[in-house]
Amino acid sequence: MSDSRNLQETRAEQARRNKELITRYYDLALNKKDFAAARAYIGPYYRQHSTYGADGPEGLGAFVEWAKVNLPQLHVDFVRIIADGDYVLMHNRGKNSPGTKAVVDIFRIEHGKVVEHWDVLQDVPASAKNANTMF
Amino acid sequence: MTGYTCASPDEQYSEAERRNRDVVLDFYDAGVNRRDYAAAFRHLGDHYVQHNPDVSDGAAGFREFFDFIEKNFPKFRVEIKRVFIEGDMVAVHVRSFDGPTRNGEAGVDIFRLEAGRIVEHWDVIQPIPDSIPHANSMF
Repeated sequence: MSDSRNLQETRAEQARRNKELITRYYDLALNKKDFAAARAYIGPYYRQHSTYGADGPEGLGAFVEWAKVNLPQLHVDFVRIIADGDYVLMHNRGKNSPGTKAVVDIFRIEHGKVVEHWDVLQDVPASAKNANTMF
Repeated sequence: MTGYTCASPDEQYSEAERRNRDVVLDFYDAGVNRRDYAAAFRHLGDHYVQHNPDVSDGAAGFREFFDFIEKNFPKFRVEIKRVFIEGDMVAVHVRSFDGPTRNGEAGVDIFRLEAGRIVEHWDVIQPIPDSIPHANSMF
């Protein structure tokens, strides 16, 4: 087997593992709104870039507690996931947020734990210039 | 195009992934920043499925949208911060300047390629607010 094929298999295995990690983490945090369970996936720090949360694991914890009270019906569908090295990028549909939002979340993983998060959010409009939907 | 970082070191990508990245970066720079449609559209496949709700389908829709930008925001430009590649999917995390919003926008564009040509595009765009609850920036 060539070195380049070995490299591609290692890379594919890392992508598979990271997608599974992030999917489970995200589902616990935002869909189940169980921060205690999600906390186990977070590393020694959590650098937050979202405009919706304060820095650190405690910033995320505060957001999850806020969502539990204010957006109890919030549910995020994972539409597509791209994994590249230590990063996982998810294209998501946030329902009852309120309304529906198109979201891209980006996570960085270090030693098997989530340590950094970026996102962008946009309301899905009632009408569009094409028939393809935002997803 | 300079200033961007790829999620992995160059040697980690397959040849096809490096080609897909280069196609998307050249398309982006030509189409979005230089508004040189002839240079941009040679990277499109025989169809271009558009998911941005403000843009009509196909190459014609792309051109119509950026003609509007060129006319109303001639200094509009987009900087690519980070690039993510997996097989036929290429995503870019970007910041726009001098467009319709005061602080510019943070966005992610996702492209799907077929045989080295761009055939589909999704994006999510959020205006950068005046203040955010941490010192890390949106990037």
